Amino acid sequence: MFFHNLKYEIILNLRAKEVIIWMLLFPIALSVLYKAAFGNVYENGGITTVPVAVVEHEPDEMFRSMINYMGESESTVDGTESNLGRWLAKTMQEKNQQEDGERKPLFHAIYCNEEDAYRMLEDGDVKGIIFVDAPEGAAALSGDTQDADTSGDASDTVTAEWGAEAIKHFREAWGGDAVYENADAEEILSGEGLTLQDMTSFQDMLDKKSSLTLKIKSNGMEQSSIKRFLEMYSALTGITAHLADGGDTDSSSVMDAAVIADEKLTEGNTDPFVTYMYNMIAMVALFGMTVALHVALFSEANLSDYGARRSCSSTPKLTTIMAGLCGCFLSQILCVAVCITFQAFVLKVDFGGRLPFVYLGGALGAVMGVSMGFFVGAIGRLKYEAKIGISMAVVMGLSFMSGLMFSGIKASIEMSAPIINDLNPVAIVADSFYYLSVDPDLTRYWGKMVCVLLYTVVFILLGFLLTRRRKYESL
Amino acid sequence: MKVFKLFFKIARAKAGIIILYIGIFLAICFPLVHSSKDKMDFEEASITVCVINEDQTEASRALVDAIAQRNRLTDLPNDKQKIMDAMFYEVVDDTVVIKKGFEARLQEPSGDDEEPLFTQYKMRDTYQTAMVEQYLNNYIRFVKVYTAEGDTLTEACEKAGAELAKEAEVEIVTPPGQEAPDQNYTDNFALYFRFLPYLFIAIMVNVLSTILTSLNRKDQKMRIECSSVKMSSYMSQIFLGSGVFTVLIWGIFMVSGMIVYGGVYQGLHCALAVLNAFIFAVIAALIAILISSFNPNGTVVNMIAQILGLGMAFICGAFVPQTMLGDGVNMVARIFPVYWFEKANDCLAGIQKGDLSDVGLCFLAEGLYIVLLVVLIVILSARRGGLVRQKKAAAQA
Repeated sequence: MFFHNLKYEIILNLRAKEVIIWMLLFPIALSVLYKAAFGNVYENGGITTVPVAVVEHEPDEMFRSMINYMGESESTVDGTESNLGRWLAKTMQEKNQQEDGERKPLFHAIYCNEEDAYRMLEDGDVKGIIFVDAPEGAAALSGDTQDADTSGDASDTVTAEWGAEAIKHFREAWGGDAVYENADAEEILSGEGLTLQDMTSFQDMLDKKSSLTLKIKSNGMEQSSIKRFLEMYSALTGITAHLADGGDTDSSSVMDAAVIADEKLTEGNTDPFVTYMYNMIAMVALFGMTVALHVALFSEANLSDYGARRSCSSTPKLTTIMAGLCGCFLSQILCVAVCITFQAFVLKVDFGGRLPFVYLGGALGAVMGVSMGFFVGAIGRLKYEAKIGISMAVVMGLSFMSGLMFSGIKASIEMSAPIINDLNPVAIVADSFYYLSVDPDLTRYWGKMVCVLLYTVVFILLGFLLTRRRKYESL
Repeated sequence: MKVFKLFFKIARAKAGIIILYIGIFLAICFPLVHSSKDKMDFEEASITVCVINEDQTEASRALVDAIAQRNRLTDLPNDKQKIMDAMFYEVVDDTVVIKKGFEARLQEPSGDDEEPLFTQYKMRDTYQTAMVEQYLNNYIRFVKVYTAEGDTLTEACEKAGAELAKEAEVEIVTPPGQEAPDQNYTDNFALYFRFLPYLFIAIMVNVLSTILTSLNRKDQKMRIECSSVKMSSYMSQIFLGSGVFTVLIWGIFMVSGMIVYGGVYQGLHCALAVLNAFIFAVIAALIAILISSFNPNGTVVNMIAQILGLGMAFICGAFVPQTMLGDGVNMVARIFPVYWFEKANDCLAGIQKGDLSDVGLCFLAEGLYIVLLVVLIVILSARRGGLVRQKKAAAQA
């Protein structure tokens, strides 16, 4: 009789319109929508190249070189690049290639006039405009330079020696190998293809520090990253100026110091939007509550006509309930498996290469959902429809708290009341998928599975306690 | 007005759902809307950094203080799993470990094969991790330069911190010839209106559809048809009930919005946002009426509410801003009314490019949806009326 009941329980469940809608169609439709909405948000990783307009009221070769070092650039205005500018760009590019040829450019700089820059800012084509202006006291500086230029051969020698020393430092800091250990000033300059005039410009460049202003249309992470770049540039020019004047300071040890060791925390899927998919599967698993309500309700003679008929049948109540529960387990596991299969093989959601454990987690989650439904069905004398409504509200509420609609909510709960996440059955199942994806071992996954099993055992025992030994005066 | 009263008697039974939605919505919106300053002030995107100081020396503490000057510090135990969880859920943007021997190595560098001074834990490359990395590099460069110039390590750390505390000049501008953004409708407050389509659809479909479906039930319909109430009066009372219900729901959310806003709405952009919300409330009500035309049962209504509400909200930019969605998604989203609601809202808040004429265009698109939905409802009810007449004629024959 057990298998007879089991067979019809499964058939009944899988033919129910509600089951097909809520367990199969709804999650598939929602998964497709999630994928459409979030699929490409993180496909390029966390960093995208920030477009920025640069308006040069005063040319600054050093700044231009630094922009090229950090990213890429294009120009919509006519301008001639100086010999020094080409040298700086070439040196920095070599440094960039030495560091990491595959590095993604942080910025895409568009050199343009003010009018075009504002137009692009308004159109959203750039995130900000960097204005490069002459520094305060620029006239005084250029006056000094003129004095130096006209002061004769002695001054030229000073500039050549200073320039050669500065190039050595700059090469050490930015250009890799220092190749001019025993060379004199003229050899160094000719080796780099530079002239005395370039050195005068180089000296001015290090001395002057252009005034950089950022204009943006709205706040945001990309705008903040441009601001931090300007601050970093300002700091670097300060350091470079110190090095150029610093005599014996070992430039390469200052600039090349490998101070940071990166340590990747996981090789798994780090896309935060994948949690929407995890929560979706967890929600389907917990929808088992609605499927299993009838197991208790249809065995109570005072709650349903089915219950009345079953109470006077010869089949023991335990057999009927066990067959009902097992039928619900199997049909619910099937629904969760379909949902996981759809996500993994059709939507290509990355579960981190442990798919069998994902199926196991989903299956145990489904069993927990069914056991909760059995318990809810057994308590009180509410009608089937009312209990369905309550169960749906509970599952949607728990799913909301686990981040099904708004992923940040779970992190907020974790910060203020982590116990809620630890007890939330949807969060437990969703977390188990997350652990499978990011953890190298299965320790935390098994921990969550133990919680799932505990919930299951507790709810089934409570359900049996509430349904056993019921007697009716009349049917 | 018996039918009208009956309409609201059924609606009263659904008051719990409405209160639940409003309560959750306000609980989420209030902190979000008040989480940042006015948009005309530049506000640097804050970086939450966890610094694990293994060295615990004067130099390492000076660095922690320097990092705290520009970033928000948070404490986490030195446990990789906890750090990973915090970084995955973006509670922490970056985690840096100041390794033991930091001060000693700064004082006496060991040469080319120098050990790294920091460990930076990474989940993925982000702007935040890149910024912190640059900060640490420059800090150490400054310290080395100053110590090479003869300063003590304490002085060098102090000077390096001061150098890196200097901020670049940033200004929020309105491009010449462009209208200055309306300060009464900030992008923060626009968040409140951004989520409204989901709520309007969820409430209208869950409540209005259920009321209309109850009234359309076969036995109810037959009872009403044989009563003394004329069909035209019945229909007009239903229409009036739906209209009043829609205005009521819209009104509740607009009043709740004032609580979040902190007073009566000010300025043209706020007024247009309120109008935009009203137009969408009408669209949501018409969607609910259209759904009820098919006489679905409770489960189907619930599913339609969730799929339509969540689906359109995700794909059209209610939960994820339109600017973050791909071109393909935005292209598909144009066929849904929520897209035009969100676009108008973004234009009003200055989040997307667009002036009042663009907002007007969005209103026009929403208006077309109203016309389309009304036509569909009329066609469906006419067909159903025709079928009923055919059945009656067949029965009489």
